[in-house]
Amino acid sequence: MLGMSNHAYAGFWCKDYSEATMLERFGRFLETVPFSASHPGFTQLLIRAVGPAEAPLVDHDLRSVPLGAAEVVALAQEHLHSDCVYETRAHWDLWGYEPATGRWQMRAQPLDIYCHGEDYDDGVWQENGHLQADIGFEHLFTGHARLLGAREPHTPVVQHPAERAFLEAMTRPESLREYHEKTRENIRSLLYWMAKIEAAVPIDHSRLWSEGEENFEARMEEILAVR
Amino acid sequence: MRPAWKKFWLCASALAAVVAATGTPRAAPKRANELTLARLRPGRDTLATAKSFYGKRRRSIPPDDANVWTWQDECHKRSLRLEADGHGIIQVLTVAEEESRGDCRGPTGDPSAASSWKTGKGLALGDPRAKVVGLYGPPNSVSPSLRGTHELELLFYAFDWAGADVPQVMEVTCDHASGRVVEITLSSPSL
Repeated sequence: MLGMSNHAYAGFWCKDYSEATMLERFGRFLETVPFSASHPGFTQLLIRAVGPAEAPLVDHDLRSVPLGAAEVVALAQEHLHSDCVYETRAHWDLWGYEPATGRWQMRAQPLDIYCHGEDYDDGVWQENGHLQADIGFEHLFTGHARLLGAREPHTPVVQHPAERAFLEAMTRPESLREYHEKTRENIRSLLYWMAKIEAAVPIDHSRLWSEGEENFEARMEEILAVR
Repeated sequence: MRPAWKKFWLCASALAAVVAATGTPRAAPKRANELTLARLRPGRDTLATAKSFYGKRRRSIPPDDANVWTWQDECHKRSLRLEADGHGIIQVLTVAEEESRGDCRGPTGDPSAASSWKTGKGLALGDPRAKVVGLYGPPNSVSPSLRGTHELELLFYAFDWAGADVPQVMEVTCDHASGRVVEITLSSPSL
């Protein structure tokens, strides 16, 4: 749907992170990924060095034979340097609204994961985390047009018929209640995964943020609190 | 610094200086730098990494100098030569066409040689000169060269514009008659 393309991210800053330990941390992180039932495994591994302007050192398209965490780390090991970033893609299942049918559906959504060497891109890890996940569209966790939560909804400028139809559907209380429920389930999936990560990897601290929300974590807490 | 490398770098520096001094300002042409050759990064990867990639699959020439290693792929008539510093970090990588001196049997007949002994952007021995310029832009300098009776053309690229953390020099040698690439050298910044 138009106007819903902001992404959300989870960043993790590890304890004792160095060139010697980073792929071990990456491997443990990858082992926690809650794969989609229909799209298990990691389907891409891309390794860059120095910065994003450089062409990738390697770009493994693994869609035909998705790999597990240990195999991804073994491939990454061939290019172990503190000025590299290791990017991999998986899919996880989240609830999404199907405009065509007006129904909710559990769908495989892409999950892009980054392991930053500390010398990559002038130390971008400081801002984004040693380990970072692009967890997908922000609206999967916050809803659209502030329809969810305790505050008054925004009145968005509707630009697309599908968006108009969606907003009209959400004027029905039962539809809005279902929207709340499905979004809360997505948030719980995210928080459950984060707890798994923090149990598996020595994390110093973590952060959730998004491109459209000033305080993404607070928005999700607000949505979780509404009954 | 060993004399051969020092000489090479003096030449490289002089060429770069000449280009800088005589170049006339105009619209910047397309340019791209290179990080890898034969999957290895000069200035970062070690001889140990190279051995893990190639040690068991191709014949290596026992080195006189522990820091210079050569692998030969006789089936494809090409060699890979690595020069490392005292810490075993690769400084110069060269892939070159050469006359086959052995037979093409057994583990030396590695079909992956042709696909792996190329630059990160995909430049390989045998490619046309036009592909070099298509991938990396116009060279900083072009100079004639001679190997035996073969007339060659040396395309010199300086990558200092891409920062200090990337390989600084790439040399691509083409056969003058055929216009095909016969040698590629990628060198790290720290010589």
